[in-house]
Amino acid sequence: MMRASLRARLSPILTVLVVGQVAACASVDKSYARAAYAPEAEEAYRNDGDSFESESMPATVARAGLFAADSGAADMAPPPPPPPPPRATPLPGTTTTTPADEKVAEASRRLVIYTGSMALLVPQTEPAIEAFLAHVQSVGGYLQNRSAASITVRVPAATFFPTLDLVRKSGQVTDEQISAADVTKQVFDMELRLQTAEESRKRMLKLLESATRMEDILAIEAQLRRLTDEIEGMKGSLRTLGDQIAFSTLTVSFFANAPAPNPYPTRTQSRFPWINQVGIERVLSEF
Amino acid sequence: MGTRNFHPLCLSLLLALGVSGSGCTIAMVVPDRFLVVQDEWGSKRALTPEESKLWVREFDDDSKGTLAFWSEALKADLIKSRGYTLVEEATVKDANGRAGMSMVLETTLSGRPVREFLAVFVVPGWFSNTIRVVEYVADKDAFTTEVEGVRTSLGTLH
Repeated sequence: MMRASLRARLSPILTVLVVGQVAACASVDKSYARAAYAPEAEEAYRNDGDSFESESMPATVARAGLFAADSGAADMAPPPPPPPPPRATPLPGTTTTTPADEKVAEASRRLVIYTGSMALLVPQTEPAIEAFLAHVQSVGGYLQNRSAASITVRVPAATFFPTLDLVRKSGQVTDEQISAADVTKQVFDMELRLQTAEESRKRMLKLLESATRMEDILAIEAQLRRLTDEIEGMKGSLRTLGDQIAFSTLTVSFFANAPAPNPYPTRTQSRFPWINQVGIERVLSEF
Repeated sequence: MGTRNFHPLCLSLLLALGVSGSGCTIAMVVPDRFLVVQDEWGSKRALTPEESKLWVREFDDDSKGTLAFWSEALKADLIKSRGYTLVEEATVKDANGRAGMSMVLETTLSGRPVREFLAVFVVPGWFSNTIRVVEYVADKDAFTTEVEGVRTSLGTLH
């Protein structure tokens, strides 16, 4: 009898929550038609939307077990997946876009994290490190890590390649590696998920205002905590990515002496006999 | 003039041409503090008291490669294949005003940094060219103080 009364009390709240989620899905769905994106991004979001639209809300909620009669607020199954993100507005001044236009627009929106490492032979390491650090600070960068012969700095992304050129002119480069990670889609996905989560939280706050029963309030607050954690996590990730995009990382190792020769040369002998007779080792051994 | 007198004349002429093309003796004033320990056909060696080594040699080149070709071939072998580090590269001239190329290379042997100054000249000949190579090898510290003397000596090479 207690269970039956509990179900009776919870069913209005259940109805309100279901209606709220359905309304959110409907508003998101309309925005699909307004945006223009690169083909693969558009397809990805369309697939997300399709998979979401194929599920009925009550079935999703029931599977999540959020309002299962015999589960408490502290023992909830995973919540339903958020609705698909809305598409962004089309580029200003364009009504129809060709694939070429979309590719150009997409390239200009690329977000890339650059990382580089170089090994440099210089006459003296200490002055070279100081000169490099002074340059980094002059372009708005900062020191991240420093050891006896190696220095890691963060420089504004726009100055990354000019700084590499400067390092190349400062000595003899004995090793160089540069990597570029395109995080455009990752950032875009996260921003949209953040927007969706924040909208869900706003709806939960409105529901909380109208809730009167303690069980309903506890359930909504648990959802709110989850959403808040999710939102804060995504904001933190976006801040980290933003920092990595804005500031590139460069590690330069300075050497006063050249490294030992490669013990496994690509070819052991030159095809030209006289060249095999010259060189440091030959002079030292055959003089 | 009879044919009997003609052959010695041809031989003398050819010998003179061959000698002028190949440079049978290497004439070069070695830098201060260097002692010439060997001076023979196509090879001259000199040492300092600290055993910095100066070695000038000549090699025949039947293929008649250009200076640019041999410069690139040397770099490909010494830098890419043997792992030397190229510190410096420059053009140089010998006593005859003939242009050559020079490199300063560095490597580490048994934990010890060693540098080499290497200069190459291509001396054109009738049947083959002669590649004249000047090599100066020393520990990095000694190299720094002695290399300018070696560069100056190139101006006496002919």
